[in-house]
Amino acid sequence: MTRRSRTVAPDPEPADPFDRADAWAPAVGFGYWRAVYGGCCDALLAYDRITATMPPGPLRGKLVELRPELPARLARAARLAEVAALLFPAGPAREPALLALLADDPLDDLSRRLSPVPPDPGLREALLTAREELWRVAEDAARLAVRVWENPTATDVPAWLTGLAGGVATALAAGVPGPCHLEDEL
Amino acid sequence: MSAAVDRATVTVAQVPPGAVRDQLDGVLAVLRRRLDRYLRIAEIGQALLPDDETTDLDGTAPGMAPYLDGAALEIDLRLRAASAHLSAVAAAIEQIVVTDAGYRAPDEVVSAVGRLVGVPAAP
Repeated sequence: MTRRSRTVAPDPEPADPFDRADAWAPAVGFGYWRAVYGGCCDALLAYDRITATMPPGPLRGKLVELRPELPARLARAARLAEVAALLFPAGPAREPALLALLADDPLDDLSRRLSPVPPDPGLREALLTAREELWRVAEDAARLAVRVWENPTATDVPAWLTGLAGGVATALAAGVPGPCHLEDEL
Repeated sequence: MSAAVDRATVTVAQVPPGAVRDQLDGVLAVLRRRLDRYLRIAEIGQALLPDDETTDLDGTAPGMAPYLDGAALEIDLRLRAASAHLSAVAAAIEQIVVTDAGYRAPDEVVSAVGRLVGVPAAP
């Protein structure tokens, strides 16, 4: 009697939390940072939608192949947004409550001594660059997808119609009676 | 764009069978394939920057054009040119049919068609 070996399905690999872009995860508040991070997620979603519009073929295959590279970039944007939201919850502006407290200081209006924006160790620039990079990828995908539908050998319809108009005019001027008489001329 | 092709289809359907009709049927077939390509390009534009005319949740009120730049703007300009091209071709077909039916002077049709289809190139 032979013993049938039981095949055990391998554990599915844990899904990358950034594989599906979600502007609400991680939670980075409701303000500026979430809006910028939401733009990053939008770029990834746009990339997926654009890939879906493409017909099966090597170009679509290449875009699908490149897709796993993107969650890492989104994850970096998420980390930047999280740190920025933690350090600067009011966005790239001074906290209004802090400004009010300093303005009420009995010695002087201390809020005037502050610069209008808090010192930023480059978080905003880095996050905006990450968003721009993700959008550049999505836009390049769109440009490639449009090229799939280009037809460099398209028929020159204007030349065709101009020729047809000339044929009709010549035939009528030659006195061929009535319509649908151009079998020989064309 | 669909309306322009529909307009051309209706016009060509009025032409009796013959060489002119055959030629216009050929042009119509090209227009239909071209329309199909343009619709695909519009799908890509919608995938890149969706604009839902039934809601303002996408950032623009119904009937309001979204702000476009980059690839989305390129696609929009391309589709506008495509729309102008299809409309011009549909109008040119009408001119030819009207002339062929004897309702217009033959020497006018060449310049009229040239004017219509000469400006917007097929994208």
